[in-house]
Amino acid sequence: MIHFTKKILPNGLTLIHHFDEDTTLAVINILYKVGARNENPNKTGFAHLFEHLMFGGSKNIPSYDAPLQIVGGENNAFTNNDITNYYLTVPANNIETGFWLESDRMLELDFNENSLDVQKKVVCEEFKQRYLTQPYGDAFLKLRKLAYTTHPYRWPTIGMELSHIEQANLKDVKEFFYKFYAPDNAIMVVAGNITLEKTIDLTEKYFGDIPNRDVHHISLPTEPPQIEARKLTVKSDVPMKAIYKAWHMCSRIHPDYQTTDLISDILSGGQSGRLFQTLVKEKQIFVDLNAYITGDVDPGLFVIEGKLNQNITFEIAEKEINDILKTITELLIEEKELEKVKNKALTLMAFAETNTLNKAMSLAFAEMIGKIEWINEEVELYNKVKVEDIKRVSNAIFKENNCSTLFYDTIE
Amino acid sequence: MINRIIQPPFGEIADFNFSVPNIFVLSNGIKVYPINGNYNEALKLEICFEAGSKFSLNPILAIAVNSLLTEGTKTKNSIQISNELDFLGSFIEKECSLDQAKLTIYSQEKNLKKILSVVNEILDQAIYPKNEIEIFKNIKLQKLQINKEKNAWIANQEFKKKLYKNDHPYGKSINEDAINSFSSSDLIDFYNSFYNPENCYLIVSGKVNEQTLNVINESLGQKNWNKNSSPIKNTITKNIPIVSEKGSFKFDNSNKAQASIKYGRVLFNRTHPDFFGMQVLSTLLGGYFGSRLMKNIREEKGYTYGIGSSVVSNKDSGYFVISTEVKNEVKELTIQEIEKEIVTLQNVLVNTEELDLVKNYMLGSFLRMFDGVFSKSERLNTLIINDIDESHYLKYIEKIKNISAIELQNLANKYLNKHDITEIIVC
Repeated sequence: MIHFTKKILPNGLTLIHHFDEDTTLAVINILYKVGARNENPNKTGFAHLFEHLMFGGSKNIPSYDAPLQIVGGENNAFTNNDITNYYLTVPANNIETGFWLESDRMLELDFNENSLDVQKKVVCEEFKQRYLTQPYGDAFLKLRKLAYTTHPYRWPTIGMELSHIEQANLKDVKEFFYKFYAPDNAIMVVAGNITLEKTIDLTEKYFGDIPNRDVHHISLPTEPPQIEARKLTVKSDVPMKAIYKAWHMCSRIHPDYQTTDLISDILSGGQSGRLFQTLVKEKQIFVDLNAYITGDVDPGLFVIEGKLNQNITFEIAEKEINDILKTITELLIEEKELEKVKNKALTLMAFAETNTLNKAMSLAFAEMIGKIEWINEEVELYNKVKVEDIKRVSNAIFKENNCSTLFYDTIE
Repeated sequence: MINRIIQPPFGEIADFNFSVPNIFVLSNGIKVYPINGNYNEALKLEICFEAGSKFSLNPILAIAVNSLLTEGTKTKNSIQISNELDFLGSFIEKECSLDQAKLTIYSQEKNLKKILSVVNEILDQAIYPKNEIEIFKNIKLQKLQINKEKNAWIANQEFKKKLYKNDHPYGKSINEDAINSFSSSDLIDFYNSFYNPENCYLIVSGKVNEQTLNVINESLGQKNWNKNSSPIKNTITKNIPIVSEKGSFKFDNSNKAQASIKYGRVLFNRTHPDFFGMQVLSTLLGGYFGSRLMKNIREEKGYTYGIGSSVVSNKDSGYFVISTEVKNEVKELTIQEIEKEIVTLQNVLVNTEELDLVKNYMLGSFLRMFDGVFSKSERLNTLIINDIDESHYLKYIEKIKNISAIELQNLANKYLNKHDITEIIVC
């Protein structure tokens, strides 16, 4: 059970506090409700580039990092398609520096050309290091583009292409800041060895006077139902063939989300997962095969990806995957198998409650999707899933016309 | 109005809180280190064997023994084992480092008893079936092909080979020959020799009470895992002197967008008197986000997404390394800048402001490193692997607090001379 208190400041900032006496640290996690999905299609990768700029100094504080390091703190951030999330941990007695730093960069950034120029270069190197120079590193970039025609999930967080990042200018940066970086577009979680009273005092002191920026989220284009199977073959200098299949699935808050998550575990959770057991171990069609869900806020993707064993054709590989899927769409799975994946999910949830920063991030995300109560109640949602649900939802997802397939071929 | 220009006052960083727990000894002599945390159900059990890859002539043999533990016993095949362990909601992690092989079980406390009955059988009666070995080899061979496409992977392999020459176990890399050349009986011999109570200890952390320890004793404590063979203790590492090849080495790979750089040298293990000082020096140079290398190469020049230095310590030896992936066109310039930063460390005393910052950052990191019982179990394991006592961390923290600018300058002059450096560039 994670106890928490929620309070909304007059300027719209959502504050969530969680007390944890077992740690000597305190955590501030600030989630801004902006991610790659909020980008202009001609300026993709911007939310993530902007995250880098948030460390380049703010209105009154020239360096973000040094003042935090001198009090023994550490910080980082990540951007995904839905959110940009900043977090710091610090010895609990020095938490005030965290409030001071985070509030100043929410108030106003130090917009400067030099920081922008350098971070553009850094992000381009990140793009290369993580996506372009890794074998199969660009597969997911191509798969998104194939699976989505309309919704902004069609581009990845890093951006559609390097040129979008290279073209970013200071005017874009300023506009983006005032559009999305505002107390009324942020969820702040303060957790760890700090009392509720102190948390409220410090929040009001540092964040209270930051103006509300009247943030409005325009509704994003909805992805139309896919009515035809999509297939794409690419060739690259890689040692073995790989296949990526993506089906559209429900949103994070849809009642079928937990069922969908358990389906991915039935297929690929642990060594006993159906895909691994049959196609990697028994038949040796693949040397590596996984199923997972993207877990996005808007309707996301159910993905199966694998690397083919030598001498296996794409046709055989695809047929074998489809045969395994039939075992859950045509038949009811046994109660025992469902109990197995639920047990594993329960273990994961038990471990998720053992780390303060983890708890803070989960609280912020749960609040963002409007389901803060799930922080303690989602276990029940998993427990309620029935074998009939597994079959029903599998049938809804695993239709050929709902699927995009990327064949990642070798250069012979 | 609040003053937003001046940093709020801050206090001293508290010392971490850690002591080696009281050992519980199982009936068959295995030592258990319990670390209790205030959790509902989460429990981590680490079953540790002094059976790392340095103990086998073929570097992948020890890894295969560890990895294939769960692939069959006298009464259960691979599918049955994974079904049972998965059904009990457990996650099994198998790791094999240079020094240690480990089986880690993440579970709920209430399921521990049933999980251990499966695990006990694995530790007592693994059989290493031939077909499972073939699958393992095939997967390893194919993954090796993927790794060979990665500049950073090649750079790391080549760097270790140069640092630890002449077949020293810390320098060996896994190639096709190594993967192809072991048999089922090699695995069983190694398993019989090393996976024994005398060569094993346990760390149990999370929801741990007296009853948990009894449950462990009733399973893992009862058998002698009698494999009719006494443990073979390592003699390999100590017999091979450490010889490094110094200088600059370039390797061609098809991947030209970025170059991967490794720059460093052999140092020593954790027991050396300069170990703590070198940790501070390495942090100052490249060990945190505000380090000199990050500021220069990333935040000023934008050559890279990241650059870092670290002092890596294994039981018998350690090394210093700077690693980065940089834009291909600036690989030489990056090396020049690395060397410029090192010369500065050798010639100019670090000022108080920067030194205090590094010290406080490291003291804060210590608190994070000991936060929560699962982190504490990792720190404890480091002590046990390296055969050192808990005063190690206290000495470490005292050194961080007391080290002077002159000491750091002396260390830079003693250990970071260009003629001692091995430099690898892959692009």
